[in-house]
Amino acid sequence: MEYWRTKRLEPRIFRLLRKGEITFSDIIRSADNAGNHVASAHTIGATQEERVTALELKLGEFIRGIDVATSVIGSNVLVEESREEAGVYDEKLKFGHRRVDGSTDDRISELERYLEEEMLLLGCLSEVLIRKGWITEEKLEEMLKSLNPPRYENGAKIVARAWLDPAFKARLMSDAKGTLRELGFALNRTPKLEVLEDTGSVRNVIVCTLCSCYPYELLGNPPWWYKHDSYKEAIVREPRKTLEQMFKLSIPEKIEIHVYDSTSDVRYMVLPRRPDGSGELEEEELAKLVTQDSLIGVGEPLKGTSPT
Amino acid sequence: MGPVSEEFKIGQKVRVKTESRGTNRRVPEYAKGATGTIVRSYGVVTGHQHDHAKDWGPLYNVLLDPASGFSGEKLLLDIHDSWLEDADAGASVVDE
Repeated sequence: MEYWRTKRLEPRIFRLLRKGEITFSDIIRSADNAGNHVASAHTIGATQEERVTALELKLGEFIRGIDVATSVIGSNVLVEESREEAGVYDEKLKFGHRRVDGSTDDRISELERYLEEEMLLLGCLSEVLIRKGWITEEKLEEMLKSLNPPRYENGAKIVARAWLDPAFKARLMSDAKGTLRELGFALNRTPKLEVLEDTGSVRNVIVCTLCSCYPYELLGNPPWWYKHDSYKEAIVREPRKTLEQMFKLSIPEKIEIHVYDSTSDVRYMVLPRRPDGSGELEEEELAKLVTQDSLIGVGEPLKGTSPT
Repeated sequence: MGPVSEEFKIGQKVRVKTESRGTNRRVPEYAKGATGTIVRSYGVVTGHQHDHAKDWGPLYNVLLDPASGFSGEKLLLDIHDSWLEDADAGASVVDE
């Protein structure tokens, strides 16, 4: 969440303020209508698991809202600054991250509160865009609904196909982007894509320690922990132990772990091994076995036979 | 503009510089000063309007030498050539 707040939402608001396109008063005056554009982040009377699921869903709404607002802003007033100009790489200029501490319950409550606050800000921004006449309320609603974000299921389909079709797999390994473009994935914002194949002797894991490079355009948003320092720092230092401790994934000593730190222009996706007991399954059922974690390399695909 | 970038070959031993004035100003802290081997050569990657405005020169995937005796674990990271130097270049004076 901090990623979206500090890199996507708040810098854009600051840019609008700096250029005089909107004012602080515009934002404050929009507050009474902000609730019309965003939902509350609290899930009352729910279990821990339900609250986490609700948070993930609402984070998705938050991100979609930012995407829509960004495209409205972009088509009305400004050309996007580069990340360098926006100060993303500058310790002095970049937006600081908040840390969330305490018990799991405390942390969930903190995150709910943060998300609620940021949703309010996003709601204000959306209302400002409407009042400025940059977009109508109806059109904004329509954009929010029609935006169909990519999800990891894209990756699951690709993996299932690679399991069944050796020729497809070979092309995927040698030219992932070109091969997937043939299937209709645009990948206009993915500079380069590499698929890393797990074998009987090698397991691949991906991370981006510098930012949070991830094949967003293909797989949607990564899980929250992917952008968290606790994962980034631990996985490059002690991969085997981290997989065991954070993901309950125990890799036998005889299997090498290859950690890929993408840092820059290349986006990686893991092609996990086909699970046992999946021999009879068709492509569609196979795809259902592929989990988001298995595309990052921190989890196994589900077993082919029904779980006991 | 600027000197012609160095070309590294797959299999070549390299050292990651501790600072670089290349266009990509960042490299992970843990990699600074580390040595490793070039395992993939991506060339100049284009089509990254979203991430940075200019081309950042040739990009390599580098397998770092194991830092402290981990077995069966390999760390591979992508580094632009402005951050790399030949690992043997500095040592040639003292060899023999």
